Amino acid sequence: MMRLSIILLLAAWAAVLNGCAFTHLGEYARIALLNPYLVGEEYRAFFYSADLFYTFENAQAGRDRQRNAAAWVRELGDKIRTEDVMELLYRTPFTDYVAVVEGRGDTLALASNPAWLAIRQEPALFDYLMWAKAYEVPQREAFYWAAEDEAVADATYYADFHARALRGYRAAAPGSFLAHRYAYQLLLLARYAADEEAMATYFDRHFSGRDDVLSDWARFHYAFQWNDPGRVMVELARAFRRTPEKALAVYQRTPAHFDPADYLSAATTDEERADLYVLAAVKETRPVLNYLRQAYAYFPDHPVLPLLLTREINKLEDWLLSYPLTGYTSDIGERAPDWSDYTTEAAYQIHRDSLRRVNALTDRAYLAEVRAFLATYAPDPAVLGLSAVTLDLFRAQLALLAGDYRAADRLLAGRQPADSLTQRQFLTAGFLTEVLSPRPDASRLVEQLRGLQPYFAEFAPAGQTTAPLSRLAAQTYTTAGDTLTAYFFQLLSDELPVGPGGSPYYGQLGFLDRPLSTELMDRIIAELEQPQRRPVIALLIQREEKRWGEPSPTAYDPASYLANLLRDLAGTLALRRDQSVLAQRYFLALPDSFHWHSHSHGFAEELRAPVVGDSVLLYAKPPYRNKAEITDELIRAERRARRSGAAEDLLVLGDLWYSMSYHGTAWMMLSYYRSNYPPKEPVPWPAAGGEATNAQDYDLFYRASRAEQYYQRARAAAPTTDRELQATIDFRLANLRWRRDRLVLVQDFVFDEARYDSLYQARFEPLDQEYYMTTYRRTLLQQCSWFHDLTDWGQQ
Amino acid sequence: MRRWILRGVLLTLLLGCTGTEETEPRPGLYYWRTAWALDSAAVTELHAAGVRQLYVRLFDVDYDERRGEAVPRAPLTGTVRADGLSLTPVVYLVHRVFAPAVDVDRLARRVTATVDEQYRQLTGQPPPLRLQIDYDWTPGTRDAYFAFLRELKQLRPERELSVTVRLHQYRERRANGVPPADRGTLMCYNLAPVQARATRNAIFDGALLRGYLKQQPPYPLALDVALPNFAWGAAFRGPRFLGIVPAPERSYLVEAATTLGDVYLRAGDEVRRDGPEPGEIREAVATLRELPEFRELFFFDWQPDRPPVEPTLIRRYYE
Repeated sequence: MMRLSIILLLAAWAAVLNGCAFTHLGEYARIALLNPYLVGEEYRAFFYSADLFYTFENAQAGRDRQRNAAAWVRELGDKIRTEDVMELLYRTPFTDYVAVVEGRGDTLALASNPAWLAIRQEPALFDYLMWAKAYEVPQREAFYWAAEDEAVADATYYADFHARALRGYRAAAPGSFLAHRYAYQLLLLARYAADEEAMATYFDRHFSGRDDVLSDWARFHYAFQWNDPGRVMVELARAFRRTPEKALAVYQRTPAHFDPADYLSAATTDEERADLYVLAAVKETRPVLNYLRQAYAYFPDHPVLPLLLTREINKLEDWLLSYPLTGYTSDIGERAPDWSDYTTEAAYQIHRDSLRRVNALTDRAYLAEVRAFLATYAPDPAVLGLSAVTLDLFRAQLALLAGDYRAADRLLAGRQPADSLTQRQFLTAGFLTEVLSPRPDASRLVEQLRGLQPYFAEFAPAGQTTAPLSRLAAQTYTTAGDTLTAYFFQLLSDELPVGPGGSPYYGQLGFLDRPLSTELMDRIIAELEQPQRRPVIALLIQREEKRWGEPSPTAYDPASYLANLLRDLAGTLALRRDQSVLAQRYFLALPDSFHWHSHSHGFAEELRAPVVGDSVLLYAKPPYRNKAEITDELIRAERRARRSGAAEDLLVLGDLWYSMSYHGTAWMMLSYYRSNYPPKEPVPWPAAGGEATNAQDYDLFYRASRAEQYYQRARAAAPTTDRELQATIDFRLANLRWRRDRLVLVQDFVFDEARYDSLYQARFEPLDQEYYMTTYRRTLLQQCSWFHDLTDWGQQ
Repeated sequence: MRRWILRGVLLTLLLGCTGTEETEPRPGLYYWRTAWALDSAAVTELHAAGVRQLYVRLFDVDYDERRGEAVPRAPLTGTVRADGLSLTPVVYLVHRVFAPAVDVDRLARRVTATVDEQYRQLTGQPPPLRLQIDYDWTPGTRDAYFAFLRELKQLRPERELSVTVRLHQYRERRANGVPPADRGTLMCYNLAPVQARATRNAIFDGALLRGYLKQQPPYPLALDVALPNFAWGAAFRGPRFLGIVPAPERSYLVEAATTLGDVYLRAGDEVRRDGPEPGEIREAVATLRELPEFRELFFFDWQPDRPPVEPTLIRRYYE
């Protein structure tokens, strides 16, 4: 059942479902820096999209409707403006018509529309208008609610459509405006009634071979009457060009993929041949420059070619930028090792990545081809309305995509934006030129980001806002080694997905979750807290304040929140480096009210009740309030151990580090993520969602390496005569190693109880015999059912 | 059959009535397409497979942002003929229908009128005696949805109203509430989000199903169960979901660019096979038959290129 909703994502109306800009198919993450609206809205349903359609709405003011409005103006006289007719025909609901006619709509805009007033003076025209508008209502909805029991439909305007149209047709003077209009409506009625004879009659008599908008619409409706599949395709492809209002209908009535060459013999003009290539190209999300070349050769001024150019550029942006900028790396092998024939997960990933590298080379080659084509593309601007500036923006965008910022600079030098659409694209190109230059100026980048912000709707997909630009800047500064600047640009791009995701909290610090120096962390924190902020930080804080509203619900101060979040990270990094005193300094600086620590489930429920004690018997200790208190206990234990060197004190340290490892309940001291199926190796950012990002941290967290070292030191320091202490330490070590063994099985998705049992047995059985007479063993027997079971096996 | 009698007794107790319940097994199949494609041979095949009833999707309801109202979509078309099979129309509601403030009474009137009218047009029969509503309600939409169900029932008190119940609703029944309906169908498929790359199998996962069912007391609504009879391919570029493609034999790595369905795949993309593996459904049937609260066994859905259901599965469930 839910299945339908998923399948319908592929269906036409799926685009409508996604009014809030979220789509399942990844449109939110698709990078598009070239704004396709530069070619107008007529074909916007067919802008390149991760979904089937960019939108599921026909052209509202396309050339056909404009021509229709112009025809009405010719009938009504030059005093009427085309815009008045457009308003009347296409933007005024029929209910307004009825309200004004019935005297209930004097205040409606319709009542003073000059086109409406003029038509009301002509009874025959007015009758036609009311007929056509009423007929449009049921026709617009192929399927709508049935009449409710209590609803009474007003039949005045909806009854006897055919009889009324026929009367109007017969009453109209032959060859007149009205005769032509009624003939069109009668053709439509005949089509829906499957009356082929009547269709042929009206078509032949009124529309065949004529060049006006009604004839173009009639040819679309008549297309399937041709007995030749080739002719049907040619007529539909022609309708795609001539009647944008019908473009979606054409799309849906033609095959998902077809070879234009199969239909060329049915075409009689070069324009029709070009139409075939254009329609075939619109259907494809693969590279189709060859179709564009053919269409251009046949008909250089084809009005859909500019749309196709934006599609090819947006495709290239998607392929070349979406993957690197979103940092997506697949986790396929880790999650599903039974996927393929590959001998190992690593072999699979190597093969997959090699395929992707080949893609990148192919994409770059294709980019060069599209650039070359665009360099020669020169339609008549008077015909298409495509300005030279717009074309140069296209060319500049491709140059920037190729990293050739100098070429982009040359193309746009001296050019002036003609309107807000081109202005936005100029700003984008300016940003890209700057970011690609050898020494980008962060202040200028911020300035351009500020300039771009007003151009984006609140709910625009992140991949089509300024987020990709900020991400590009972050990557540039990362490469240049300027981690501080890179981090803030990275935060500015946080609406764009990065990696497989993690908690929102980790999303804000993951970029820095790696062995960074204390000095750098301190510098970033200081930059946030000083009054005179760098432009990039000021922009970030401003955005955060706007995002949370004024005043924010929890008196949220973005700068201090971010600074505290970084203190938390700096403390964690220090702890991983075994610098407990430094870690405590950071943790102590965190206020009790620090939002994440107080509200996060993990901290509220888990961290505050860690077990720092016997990792085998799981003795609970009183809960801790925060990270600082645990660190405090760690520091005191370290001091005791340093002073005494005693096995008991080293044992406590082992317990503490065990507790903070993956296997303990205070795991959040060392990590920001814990999965039941952890990775088998370090996961560097951005693929990480909080897992250990390097080998040292991996050992510390998943293998509890520091705990093991302390247990081993404790064991070495334990007096040879103290069997109880030896037993205690050995059981701790056995527990740690058993859990580590078990983790390896889990990571391999092995859920074999017998193998788990044997691991357990291998670790504990020798100890059971070794320490048979100790109190510690007896305690285990009394308190641990699993250990009790082991001894039962041993007796069997 | 002994097991079936136990189910009948349990249901009788649940419904608090006697003598009106049918005692013969009535396994069913969902029909979830936009055009009627079952010819007489296919209907005969269903009979032979043991299918006794069809749950037929009539139309969907979605919220139209432009109009600012809920609207019907994707109606079933054609002439519905399924001699000897009992028909239950189903209306699927997109989740966001109840997300905005919606006039539930009016929506119920419209759905009722449209069900009656469309059922008449499709089958030539009077209004149906049963109706199922398929909606994935959440704690946030439950009040509006339940009010909608109550209104539906009030408009046609004689009509048996059933609802679909997702596994998470079945398990988290305190947070989700129990819908005011006559019965429900527990959907034992679509267990994980298809668009998530980490999902192992979006359609079916036997272990997950057992986890959902484990140690649950009987649901306070008579329940049938539905198992999947379909599969698909979910295409990914990294973790980015590209779309649904025809079901492959198994998951695979795309070696060369190609277009499948409407999805353009590039080398390095991955297609995950979603759907039950051979034997999994048999195991699920074995699990479900041990739980006496479940009544009829349904399968989702009829596919022109797949056998409807294995008769042995039906026999095994009702044994």
